[in-house]
Amino acid sequence: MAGSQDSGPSPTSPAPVLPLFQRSWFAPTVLLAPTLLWLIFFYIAPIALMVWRGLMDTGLQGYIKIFSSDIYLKVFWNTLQISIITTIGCLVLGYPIAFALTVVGRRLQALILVLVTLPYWLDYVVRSYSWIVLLGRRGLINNILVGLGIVDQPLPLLFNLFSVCVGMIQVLLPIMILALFGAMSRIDRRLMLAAEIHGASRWRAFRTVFFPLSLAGVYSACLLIFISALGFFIVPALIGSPRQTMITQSILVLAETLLNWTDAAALSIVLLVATMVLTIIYDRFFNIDRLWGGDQR
Amino acid sequence: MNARIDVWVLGASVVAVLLYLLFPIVVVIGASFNPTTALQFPPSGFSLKWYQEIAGNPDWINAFIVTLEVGAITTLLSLLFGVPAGFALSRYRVKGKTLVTALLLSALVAPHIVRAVSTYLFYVPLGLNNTILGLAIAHSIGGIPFVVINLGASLRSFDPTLERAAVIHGAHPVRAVLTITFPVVAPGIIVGALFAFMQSAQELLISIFVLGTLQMPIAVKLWEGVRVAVDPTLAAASSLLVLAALGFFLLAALARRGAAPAPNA
Amino acid sequence: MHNVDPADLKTAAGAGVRLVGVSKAFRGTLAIDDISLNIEPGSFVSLLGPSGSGKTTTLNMIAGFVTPDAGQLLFDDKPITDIPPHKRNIGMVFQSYALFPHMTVFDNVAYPLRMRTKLRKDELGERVREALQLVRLSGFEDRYPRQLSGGQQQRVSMARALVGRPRLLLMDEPLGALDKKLRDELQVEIKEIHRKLGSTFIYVTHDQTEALTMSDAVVVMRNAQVAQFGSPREVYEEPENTFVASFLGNANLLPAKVVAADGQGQTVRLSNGAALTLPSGGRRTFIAGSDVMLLLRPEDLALAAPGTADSATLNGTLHEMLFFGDSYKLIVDIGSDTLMLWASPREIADLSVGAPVRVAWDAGRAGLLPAGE
Repeated sequence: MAGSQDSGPSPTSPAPVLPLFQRSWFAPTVLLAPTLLWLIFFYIAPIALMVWRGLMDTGLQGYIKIFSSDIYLKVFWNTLQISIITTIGCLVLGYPIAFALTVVGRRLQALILVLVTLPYWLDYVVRSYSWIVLLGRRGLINNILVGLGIVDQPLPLLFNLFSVCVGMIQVLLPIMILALFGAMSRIDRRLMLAAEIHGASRWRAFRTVFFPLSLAGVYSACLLIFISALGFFIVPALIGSPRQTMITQSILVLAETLLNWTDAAALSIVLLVATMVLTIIYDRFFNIDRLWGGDQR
Repeated sequence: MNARIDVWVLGASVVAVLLYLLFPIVVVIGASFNPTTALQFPPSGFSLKWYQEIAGNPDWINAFIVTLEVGAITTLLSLLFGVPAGFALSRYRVKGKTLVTALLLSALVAPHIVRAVSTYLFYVPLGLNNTILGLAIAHSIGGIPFVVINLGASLRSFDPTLERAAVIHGAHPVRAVLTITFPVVAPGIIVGALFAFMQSAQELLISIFVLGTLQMPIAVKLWEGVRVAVDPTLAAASSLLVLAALGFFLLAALARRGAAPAPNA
Repeated sequence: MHNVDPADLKTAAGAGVRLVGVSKAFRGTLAIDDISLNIEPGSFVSLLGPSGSGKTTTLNMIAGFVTPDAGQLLFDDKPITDIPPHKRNIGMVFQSYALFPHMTVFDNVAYPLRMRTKLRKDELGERVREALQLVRLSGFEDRYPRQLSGGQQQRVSMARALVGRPRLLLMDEPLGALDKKLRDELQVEIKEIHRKLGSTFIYVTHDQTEALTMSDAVVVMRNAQVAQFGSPREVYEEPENTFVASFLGNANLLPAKVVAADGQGQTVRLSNGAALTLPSGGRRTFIAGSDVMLLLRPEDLALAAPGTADSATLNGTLHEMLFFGDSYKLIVDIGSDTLMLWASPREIADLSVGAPVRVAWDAGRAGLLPAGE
């Protein structure tokens, strides 16, 4: 009867932008072209040339050699193993912190975030280096353990798989925590309350509501960490043994010491392809475009 | 029900992880004050001799200067290319957009060793190896994405009505962007620039390949140092870096605070 | 009475704005469909309509943010379709206020002057202070927008829009984000400012009361078209269709059929069989046999006093009565239709739901509208 608000078909009129930003090809071209050329010349061209030169010199021989060599296969295996352990370690340590960040008050949240991101600003070499002081045979940990009589002999904590993973997790953990926290803060907290009102215990509410909702964020963060871990170099080189050699180290040795540029290039391409494939998967599932506020595809 | 236990377990794990993240830094700083050549924590005394050694060592001073030079040029290049690109990427729908986005993204995740080897080979005929500019150009590839990402995030929270308000009250659109949009999103640009500088200062592999061992930025100098002899000079240099990182961190935090949106706006 | 001498601020004269056959489509959907409007210089015109009706697009087109696909836009009979917004010399108040967060109140208000004039520093300051005084915000020059309340931000936004003495001022739901009390206050102030300035004001709102109280003319919009354009009294008392009738105020719309039409008047029959005769007058006439809608405003209805002639009443049953403090809202069933009307607590007396009631209607104020639509 009164005030029937028949709005009819609502034209989804977009918020008008300035005419400067409408239908114009000139401005975006002028703004984007230099960057595009710069990236193509100093980033794509070098890699393309490297691939081209490798194929010219030895054809696919270089790649076949890499995949049939026990040494390189061992290096691939090392890289995979260390990256997986690092990813899992980051998740196990990072999840509780990220969750805690979503439940604490704003001030505590800010403080924890500061403390978590602080080491991220610190040089990798420095961060790895500190583990030598801590984990060495006469390092702090062993001193305490021996001093307390828990062990008779200092434990071999350094220059092995353990120390490499401890170091890598420490480096990548801040990224994991931030990524998880970002995903978790998008979960509506009232859902947990709703679950509890309807009879779930706190733990069950977490397990049946919050945790499943956080899984998308978990996958995305894990993939990000895994991709980053693949290219690691400083940590295994500084606090690992030759048995933990990762791909990047091999490439460095090939190029710097052995001057075997062909194998170095081929190995680089293998690493690059692996990284890019994973990145494309990441983009398909988690839409990286969001990173710079592009329109949601 | 057992809410207390939950909270204690969670709290304890937070503290444990924070210790894990931060304790190594404390160790390095502590070790740098050790009076003996032994690298140990806790230090057996207090001495500034390793800092004096750095201050008196032209190699170290040179390393700081090289890092600053490379970092400054990298930041400049990253801004020069990143700001227009970031603006265009978040404002326009254009054909090349997906391509540029993909390139920027891949530059962010591409393993450094790949870029290091390929850039070195590419630079040989160009004569850019062993030059500060050459390294800065290579580092700008990693810096531009940071500027684009941070500017994009700021532009996303920027209210485009502000631009319309400027234009309707007499400003030419370009002037509106320069006097309104950029000042408002400036914190995002500053944070992006800080990231660009930091990634340059920390980058090791490309630096090793492009600059060789004649000129060493701090990252390379530390790396070489660790491989040659572990002594507290490195701890002292690292501690100075911690200090610098802290400074940068505060700058970024300040810039972000400036970016906090006003209520009701 | 006023703090500011109106003569200081009075613009040369308001601009006349004309839209001629203007259309605009977004992604194939018409946002404005062949609209023509003639807005008198110096008038206060409201664009009123539900969301999606095209009112904001119309405003944005006048501002220059949206270019029409067809038709022409004229200021004082000069086409301005091709003039970019920054050269149109318009002031505008946005719903979100759109205050520049990095500038003080002073700099915000001074912005149009700095862009459009080459005033000396002291003149500029004088003008800014004048504008702030007009919106009663003197002394806030050095604050930043985030330090102001919503109402204060709205005032700064007003001051910025009018400081350049534009001949045309656009307002896009400027009070939409404020609470009711503040809105009522500011409505009065905006009206006063309009009187003092003499500029043309074009005001977009979805609040019908706001449009009726403030405007010289109201443009009721619906589905990208103008449903009616007229003075507030015209659109309220003589709506051209059922949409306008029901969008503005409360309306009882009863389906009816014209059974007789002659010089004396028109007789319609309601669904319950009751026949009513409307005197002939300025209202539109329908030929006998037409299906129509009978419009009865609640304020033109009353509970019939005992002894009222049957011809002037409608008989029904009281369906619901709701207490509103100073009055009761009554819902009366008349056959398959319902009527809404107001009654004073005294009239109610011992009335209860379900009781038969007689409703007196004012034949001179009833209206007939085309059915359908």
